[in-house]
Amino acid sequence: MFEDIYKKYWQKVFRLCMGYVNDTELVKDLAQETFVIVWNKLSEFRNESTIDTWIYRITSNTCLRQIEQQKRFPRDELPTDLVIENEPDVESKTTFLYKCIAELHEIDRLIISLELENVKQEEIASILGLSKTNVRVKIHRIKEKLMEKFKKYHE
Amino acid sequence: MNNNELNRLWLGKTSNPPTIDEIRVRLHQMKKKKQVERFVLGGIVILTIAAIITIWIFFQPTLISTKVGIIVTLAGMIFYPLAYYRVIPNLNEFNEDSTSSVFLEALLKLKGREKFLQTKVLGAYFIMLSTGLFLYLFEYISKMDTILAWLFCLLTIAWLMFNWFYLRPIVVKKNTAKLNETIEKVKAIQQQIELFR
Repeated sequence: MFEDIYKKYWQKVFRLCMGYVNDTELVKDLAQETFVIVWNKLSEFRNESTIDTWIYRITSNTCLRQIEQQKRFPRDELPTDLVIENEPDVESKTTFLYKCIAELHEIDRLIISLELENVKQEEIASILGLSKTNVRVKIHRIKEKLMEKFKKYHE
Repeated sequence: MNNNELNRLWLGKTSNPPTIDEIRVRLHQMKKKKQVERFVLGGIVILTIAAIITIWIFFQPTLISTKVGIIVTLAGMIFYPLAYYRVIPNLNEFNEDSTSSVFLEALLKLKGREKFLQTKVLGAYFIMLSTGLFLYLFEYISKMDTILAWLFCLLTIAWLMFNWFYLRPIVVKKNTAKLNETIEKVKAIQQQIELFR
């Protein structure tokens, strides 16, 4: 069962961590740490929430726990060993998007990363312990902020 | 730039996953580390008890203060690792799969406990060691010449004061500085949650 989860969720967990720290090496470490916890706690999973919610909670909390480890997150200026499936121009836009997200407040980073991962707003609220209405408002504001940054980026 | 494009850019980033064996090894290492910690703690307790018995048998202290001194010193040696083990929950007890707001609450509580350990418990540890050492030495000092006894007393007191007023504050300051920083950061994130709860 863990193998299926690992295959299905690795990229999602990776992106969520990447949105949080924007540092490829640290992200790999965070993603691995997340799956170690998932494996260790899998027998305790009681279907009280969906497996998606459960894994995203562990991922979010593993990211949040990074505050114990370091003062500032180093930022990736250019991707190193990433597999880029898009054109070069899109690649720089993607890098810019992740950079912008990693500069947001911690909770905002998690909210927008989950939203862009197509997680339902109700589920985001349940992962982070926020109200659904506030999540909707917050997503709207963060997206506006991101669009504004992209506008300036293009100019 | 629109919502769909943001989504497309986000989902365009992928990474080659490490093999599942890497995760297995890491989980194994984590469990092994816990076992080693338990083993070390058990070893300290056993060695301490063995030391008490050995000193008692071979040195034959006559005064009760010496016996109390031995017990208090060695109890101090057990006390700190035991308190550490009791205060800091193991990985399974930590709420990694709860909501982030509950998780941050638990993290804050854990950091508070660590701070208690690094300040109050460490203080108690120093007091126990110092008191124990002084009581232990009393019998031997009382049998010395007056000048030598005074010299020995002064040296012991100087050593204890060095520990209490110099060494202990350095250790406490070093340990609490990082903890305080983490506590502040956790509180700042909690405020972000509070604003949108």
